[in-house]
Amino acid sequence: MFFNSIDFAIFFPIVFILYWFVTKGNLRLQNILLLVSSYFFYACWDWRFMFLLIFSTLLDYFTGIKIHEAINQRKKMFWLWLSIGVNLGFLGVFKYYNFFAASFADGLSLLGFKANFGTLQVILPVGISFYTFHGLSYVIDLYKNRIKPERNFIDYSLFVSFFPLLVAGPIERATHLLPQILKKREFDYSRAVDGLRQILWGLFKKIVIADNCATYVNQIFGSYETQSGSTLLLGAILFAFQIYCDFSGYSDIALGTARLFGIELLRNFAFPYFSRDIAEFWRRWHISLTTWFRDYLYIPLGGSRGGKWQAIRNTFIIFLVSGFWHGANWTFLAWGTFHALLFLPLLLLQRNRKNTNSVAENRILPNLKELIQMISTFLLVVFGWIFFRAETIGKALDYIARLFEKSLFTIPKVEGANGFYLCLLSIILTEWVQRSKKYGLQIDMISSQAIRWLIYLSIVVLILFFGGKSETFIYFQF
Amino acid sequence: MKKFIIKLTLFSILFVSISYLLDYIISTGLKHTEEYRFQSWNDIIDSKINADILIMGNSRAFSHYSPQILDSVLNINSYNIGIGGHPFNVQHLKYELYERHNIKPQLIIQNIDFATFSPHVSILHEREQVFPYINDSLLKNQLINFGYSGAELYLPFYRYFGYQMVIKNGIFEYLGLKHYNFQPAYKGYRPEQGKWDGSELNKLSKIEPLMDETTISLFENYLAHCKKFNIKVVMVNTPIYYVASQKLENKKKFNDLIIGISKKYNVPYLDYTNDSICLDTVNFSVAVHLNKKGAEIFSKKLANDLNAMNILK
Repeated sequence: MFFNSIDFAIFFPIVFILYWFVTKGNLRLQNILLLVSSYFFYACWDWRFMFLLIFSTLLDYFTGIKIHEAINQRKKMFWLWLSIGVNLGFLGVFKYYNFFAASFADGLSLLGFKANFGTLQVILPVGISFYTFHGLSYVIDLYKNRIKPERNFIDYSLFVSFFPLLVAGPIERATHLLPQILKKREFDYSRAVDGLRQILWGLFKKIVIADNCATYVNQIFGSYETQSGSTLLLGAILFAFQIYCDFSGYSDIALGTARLFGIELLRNFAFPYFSRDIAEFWRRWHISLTTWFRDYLYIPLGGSRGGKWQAIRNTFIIFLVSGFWHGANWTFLAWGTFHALLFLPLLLLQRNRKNTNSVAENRILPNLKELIQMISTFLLVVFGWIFFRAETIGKALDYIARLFEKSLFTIPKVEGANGFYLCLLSIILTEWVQRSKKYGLQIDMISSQAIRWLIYLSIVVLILFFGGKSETFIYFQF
Repeated sequence: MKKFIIKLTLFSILFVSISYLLDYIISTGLKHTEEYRFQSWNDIIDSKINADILIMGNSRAFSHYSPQILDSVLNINSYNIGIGGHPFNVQHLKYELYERHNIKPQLIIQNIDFATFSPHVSILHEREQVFPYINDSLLKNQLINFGYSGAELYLPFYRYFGYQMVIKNGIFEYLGLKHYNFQPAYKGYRPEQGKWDGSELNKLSKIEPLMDETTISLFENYLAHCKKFNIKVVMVNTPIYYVASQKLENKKKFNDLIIGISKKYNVPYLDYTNDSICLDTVNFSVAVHLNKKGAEIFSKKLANDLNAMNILK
């Protein structure tokens, strides 16, 4: 059940009505309803994976209690590593086994040995990378005594399985979401309206921008051998917008949906393409994952406190793991490595926290320096996306080699895209104007209701007119 | 909460109204285009056809039978309602709609080939071709069996979602900004424009005629229906390039099936797959499709043969 499907358009209002009108504010009933709805939502993808989700939930629920009750550090450690091991074991089997088996066999064949480890014919359970990380953050926080264990299984399960975030995040923290689940929630008109607005904006980004970009990107990447350098550059730029609008659009819908139930989820995107350097980009892109890796991997490894070499090692680890988290393919590792290489100079020169404010704060336009910084950062990110989008490293390198041919200085050719460029421009301008807000359509400052409604209806009409052929969300595969 | 529900309801009403308005504008616009996808459906729905001879079949029907030639030789009014890319179940749906809105024909030329009796399929190829007519009660009841969702059939505008060019064409046509006659067909006939290059033949390893029981049963019911209403039917297998013909499998089984049906319902069967047209690539665009020249030669031959058979007397 996709957020942009007719099924969800039926499912969501039913849950909303039951939640606010039938449960009559009874927190226990509300949580049971949200949990049942979340399991139904998940079962719509593939009911068999429900068992995996429930097992993972049970595992972390019990190991969490055991960690808390452990009488000594060794036992605590045992339960922690049991949870981590089993969780990562499942992730490894479903997501990485085939990759490792094939890569190991390839490696041995290079050394002259023949090996065949066989591959598993398994489908990747949707959302496994996300709910595994939810669970891991919970047990690690318990181990670090940051939280107390949640003994109500329904409440804990809802923290793991809350349907707006279940299949593609944001990756929540027990410290942030659990207290909201346990607290009585009242309907708030302005929050609900804000939620609807964010859903509308997410739909616009997904349906109009990402789905249309996908059409052109698929064309260009599918026949890159015959395209000019300029078209290949345009293809990579369009993919940058596709993946941004796809994933941030999804996150907007998830945040808006949760807000309609009185729950605030973690912000996942903060206008990342207006970043002035790569460090700023990573503070603004997939924030819930970046901060997860920072808090549960980078800092426990010592961060940048142990000298230059440790900082370099840890930076590479975090970016490689981040790349690998996205999928079992060398292309994701190359993408992670590329970003590590971009990030390192900033870290070593201690310039990684230089741009922590919003660009051109209190000004309409950026100055020339900021503009150059933004464009160069964007182009570097675009360059990295080529590895992310390509099927193999070889194809990515070939794509890049062809991009830098003489034809780079010709006019790119993408059939039928002229009208779409206006939509693309509209979203860039809107997000620029709104860059100090939480999302592009946060227009509560416009006092005239007529104007606000006119804007909403215009967006609805644009969605109806320019809606691309329905595409799945890119991050569902991760 | 009350305020929220009231505003949400108001917004939903506005949204539904916009959807209905757009649906009306686009559908009306498309009903006025002469674009090949919609032209024959428009003529059917508008009861404009009322042909003496109706040609039915798949792409090998709409691109092989020239009504102009049939009309001139037989001195009658013919029309080609061939629908590309689909076996008999979809062809039959179009015929049902035809009968509902037009006078029954005297004769149906039913194109028969290796694809006719394939298992029932949804309308997948150019599925937008029926969008403007979805409110016709026959289509509304039937299309659910042809891969159209309830949402497409009952919600305003929903079916057009994602078909940007169709939306644009419908609106432009409605507003009179542009008249679309892209690849217009003459009485449903749209000859193939492509030139023979042989590449498709090289890729073709075999052609396997499928003989699905359900489709055959539907076909036989249709022949019985025609007999009941005194509609003559002639089954025609049009030319295939002879090299491709050699790649046809189960030839005997297929011929036995057709001849069996032919005898059972007393329906003539004209087989042109061994005709001299089949010997020269100059008559073909691809192995199983005649080009314009080939289609005209074939149409003349067929018209003369029908004349000789005195079938309309």
